[in-house]
Parts: sequence; structure tokens; C-alpha cells
Amino acid sequence: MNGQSAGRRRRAAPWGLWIAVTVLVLLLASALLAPWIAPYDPLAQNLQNKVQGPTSEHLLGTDRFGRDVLSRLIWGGRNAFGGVAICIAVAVTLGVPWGTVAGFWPRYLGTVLMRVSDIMIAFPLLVLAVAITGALGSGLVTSMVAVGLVLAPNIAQLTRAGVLAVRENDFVESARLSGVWEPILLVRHVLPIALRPVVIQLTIFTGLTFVVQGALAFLGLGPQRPTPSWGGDLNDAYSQILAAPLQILPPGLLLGGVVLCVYRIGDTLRDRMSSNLARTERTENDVVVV
Amino acid sequence: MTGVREVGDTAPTETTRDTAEPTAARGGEKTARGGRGWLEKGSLSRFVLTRLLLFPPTVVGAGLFTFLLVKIIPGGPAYAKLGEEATPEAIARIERQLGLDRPLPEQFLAWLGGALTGDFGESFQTGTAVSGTIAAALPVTLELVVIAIIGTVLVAIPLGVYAGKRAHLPSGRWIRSASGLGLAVPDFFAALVLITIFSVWLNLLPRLGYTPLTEDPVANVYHLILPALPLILGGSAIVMRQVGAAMADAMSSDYVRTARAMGISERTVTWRYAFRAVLPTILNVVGLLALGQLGATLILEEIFVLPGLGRTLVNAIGQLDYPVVLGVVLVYVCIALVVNLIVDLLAGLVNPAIRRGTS
Repeated sequence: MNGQSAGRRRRAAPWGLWIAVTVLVLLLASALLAPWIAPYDPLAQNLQNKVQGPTSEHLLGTDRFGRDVLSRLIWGGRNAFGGVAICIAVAVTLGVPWGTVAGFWPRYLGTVLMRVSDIMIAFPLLVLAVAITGALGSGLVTSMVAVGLVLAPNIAQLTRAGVLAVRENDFVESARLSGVWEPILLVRHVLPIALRPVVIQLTIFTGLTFVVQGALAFLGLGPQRPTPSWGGDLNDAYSQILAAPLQILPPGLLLGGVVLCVYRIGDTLRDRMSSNLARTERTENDVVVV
Repeated sequence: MTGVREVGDTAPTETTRDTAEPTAARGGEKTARGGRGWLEKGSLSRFVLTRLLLFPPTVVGAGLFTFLLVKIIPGGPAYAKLGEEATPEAIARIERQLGLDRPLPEQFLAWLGGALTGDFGESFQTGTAVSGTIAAALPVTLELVVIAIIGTVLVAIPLGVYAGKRAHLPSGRWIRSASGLGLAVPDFFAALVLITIFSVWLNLLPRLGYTPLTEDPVANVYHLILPALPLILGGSAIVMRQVGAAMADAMSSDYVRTARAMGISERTVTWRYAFRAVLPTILNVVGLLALGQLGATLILEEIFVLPGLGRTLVNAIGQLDYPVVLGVVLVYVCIALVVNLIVDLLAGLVNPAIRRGTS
């Protein structure tokens, strides 16, 4: 019966999912190929043609310095995707070991590690990200490392919860009794299952990171002008809001669209993976799947 | 914008409790059945007391984290204060003046002691007391959050209940899809779109300006409608989804079917039976949302030039004004911790299982 309902979902889901995947792949490709496909230099100013609407020469118009908006968004995509990759890498390389250690030695070390994560999670996300960026200095890399540091304790808590839940399983106990060395046991048998909820959460964090990255760039803490960034360009457009309000649309819709696509993929992943988890684990042991 | 993170967060902590302390939970249950005395395991008094006792150490921990965070700023406060005229002698003099030559633990305790009694030191830039700056900025931020939460509750709960009751009908699905869209739109972009519509095109609401509540309450609220709208839209998307899902569960439960079979009116079934079961969910998601909105006000204050905590923080970071950064971040986290505590206590009040898990 489970298989049947999963099959039905698989038939119903794809349209939105495939659109989301295609859009993201195209955007990523355009970002990677920016030097070859961007029609203009993103920094080249042309003050005779500033704040124009879409024309056949400038498909998305020009900004307040007469720079081509489309070219800036394509180049800004490099910063956007690269920045999110940095952030997620920091969050995972810090959060997963943090949570694994806390979950495997829950008594003293684990308690201390979790108290630290509790305290970090208590800070409002954007406030902590702004404060850490302030401490490290503005810039693409520093601001994204800051967001990664803010997300790491969340990853740690999820990882710990997963490790604790999987540890209770009989197969872990039998592996241990048959003499498997603890670190091997952890990496080969516990983590692959324990990290499934983390993977689901990571897609949601990826969407969130695009938003926070945009926010930090909007606040002037991300890539410094005149480097193209979606959030920074949105702020540039905001300064023209009385003269040309529609200038906010290209960067804003792009950012919102990317987030929507990422969340769509996250939704599908959660549906599939949690139904798989439920089938395999819930029957043996009363494992609560996140 | 932070709502997504928070909602995801609630699950793991509960899992942790269930799996980490199964024996404690079971033990608590046993005593719970045999009647609960004052401070016994699983009793409400014990739960409230543990939570209250845990609060001060958490505040100190958050203070320590903030303190260390600001300590790693390159250059150091003395350099930031002196700017161009920094000579080694001048730096040493300033550091002695500010007490920065003392050992770190001593500095921390001095700062925290002051902060807890309302003395955050003096701003490097203006020389005025930081507590005064915070006292002026805090009401703006709090008011914005409160308006956003009230608006969200008024919009999202009726819609969520409606969508939950019609979860399998097109209307319910449409509401769900719309809320998915609301989750994805960054609130600062939503703010710019709303400014364009209501301020630039229709000229209905002001884009800039702030009047204190005590001066002119009507003008005050009038100026805060537009900044609060993006928060209300984004927050409603989150709350609506959670309420809708919980309501759909409740409406398909056995007790609702029984109540219907007994001929109880649909309105009573919805609000007196199903909605009651959804209340803990609402409490939790609105509490977490308040924390998310607290962070989100930061960027909205920048956009709408509101003199709140967020603008103060961003300006202070730009000017390397350490005492202000420290004070404002500490105030932010204290508000967040208080909201957390209230949500925790209320959750324990309505749900005995949570009380047992933590005792």
C-alpha cells in the first residue's frame, strides 16, 4: 500500500519539480559561462543611457549608471551560487562533526556542545549574521562564512538527533558486539541513515541562504560596489524607486524565483525521503523521523 | 524569512528529548499517574522552576558569546576610536582608559555586570550612554514586531482553518500554493514591491518617517503599516501552512467524526473540538515566528529608515562603535530568550508530555 501511494505521488509531482530543476540548472550554467554569454561588461557605465526600460539592445534595461542589468544579473549569479556554496560548506563541515560528537558521546561533551548550539540558535538569525559579518569585515566570502556559522548549530542539532535515534537500533548494537571499531561503526553504519534528515533540511537552508545573502548584500555587508550582486543591485534599484520603480523587478524576481525553485526541490525531497524512512525504520523500532 | 528555519527546528529537539531520555520520560509518567506533589517529577511547578533556573545561565552564555564575537573584530576598539591618529602610545592610553588592558574574564564580568544593571558604557562615536540609545530604539523594533504578529494572527489563523477544513478541495490547495509562494519571496523584496504599489503609485501610505507612539498614536501606527505588511505576508504564509496541516489532521480524527455523528453542529465541531487541538501548534509557530520577525525587522528598519535596534546595529557596525554593537546584540538576544521562555512555559502548560520530557 505504501508503494502504491508513493507511486501515485511520483506521477503527480514532476511538473513543478522539473521546471524548478531546469531553471536552477540554466541559471547556474549562465553564471558559470558569464564571461562568454553576458552581452555587456557588468561594470561598464554609460551615463547617456541610464535608467532605461527594456530595449532590444538592453533586454532588461540599464541601471542608474547606465550599466546593462542583464549582464549584471548573470555576473551576480556567480557571487550568488558561489556564496551559497561557501555557506553550506561551512555549515556542514562544522555542524555535522559537532552534532556527531555530541550524539555519540551524549553525556558530558555532548551536553556542553548542545548548550553552545542552544545559545547560538537563540540569536535572531539575521542579527547574528550581521554581527558576525561586522566582526569579520564586509565582503562576499566573510558574509557567507558568517551565515554558515549561524546555520552550523542547527545542522549540529539535527545530526545529533539523527545519531541518537539510529544508535538505538538493534543493527548498531549487533555491529558493535561483532567487534566493529567505533569510528568505522559511526561512519559506515550510523551516519548514512542519521544524515538523511540533514540532507532534507539542507535544501531548505540553501533557499534560506539565498535570502539571507540577498539581505546582507542589500545592507551593504556583502560584495562591495561596484561588484554585481543580486541584493546589492536591488538596493541600487531601491534608490531609484521614485523615478523608476520597476527597476526593482529584475533582481527581486530573480532572487524570489531561485528561492521558490530550491524550496520546490526541498519539498519533493522531503516527501520522498521521509516516506522511505518511514517504511524502513518505523516498523523495527519506534524511531521518530524528523 | 527566518521562519522556515525555526519551524524545521522544532522537530529535532522533540526527537532528542524522546530518544535521549527515554527512562526519565517513563519515570515521570509513572509518578504523574500516582498524583503529583509540589516539585515532583512531571509536576508543573517543577517544570516552571527548572525553566526559570535555566534562564540566567543562558543569558550569561549569550552575553559571553556576544562579548567574544565583538572581541575578534580586527584592529581593536582603541584603534577604531582613534582612527587615523592611532599611535602606539595613544592606543595604550585609550586601552587603559577603557579597561582593555585587564584580563579578558575581568573585562567580561565588568561589562556583563554593567549591562545587567542597565549600564552599557558610552558610545565611541557620540560619547552618550548606550543605554539611552537602546531605550530610544527598542520601542520602535518591539512595536513593529507586535504589529506584525497581531496582523499575522488575524490573517493566518482564519485562512489556515479554512484551508485545513478544505485540504482535499481545490480551494484548500490554492491557499497552500499561495502560501508556498509567500515563503519564497524575500521580505525585503516584498517591502519594495509594497512601497511601489502603496506609496509610489497609489500614494496611500508614507514610505519614510516615524512618529513616537507617545507623541501621536495615529501617526505612529500609520507610519508602521507599510513596514509591517511584508512581515505579515511572510509570517502568514508560515503560520497558515502549519495551522492548515494541523487542522486537516484534527478534522480527520476519530473524535471529530464521533462529534459529527452525534449531530453536533459543524461550527462547534470546528472551533470547540478541532481548533482546540490545533492551539498548541499555533502557540509554538507564532512564538517561533516572533523570533524570526525580530531578526527580519533589521532589514525593514533599514529600508523604511525607522530608528529601531536594527538600524542602530548596522550603523554601529559601520562605525566600529563597539559598546553600541555589544549592547544592541545583547538586547536582541535577551528579547529572543524571553520569548523562548514564554513559549516554553505556555507549551508546558497546555501539553503535559513536554513537562515530563524535561523533568
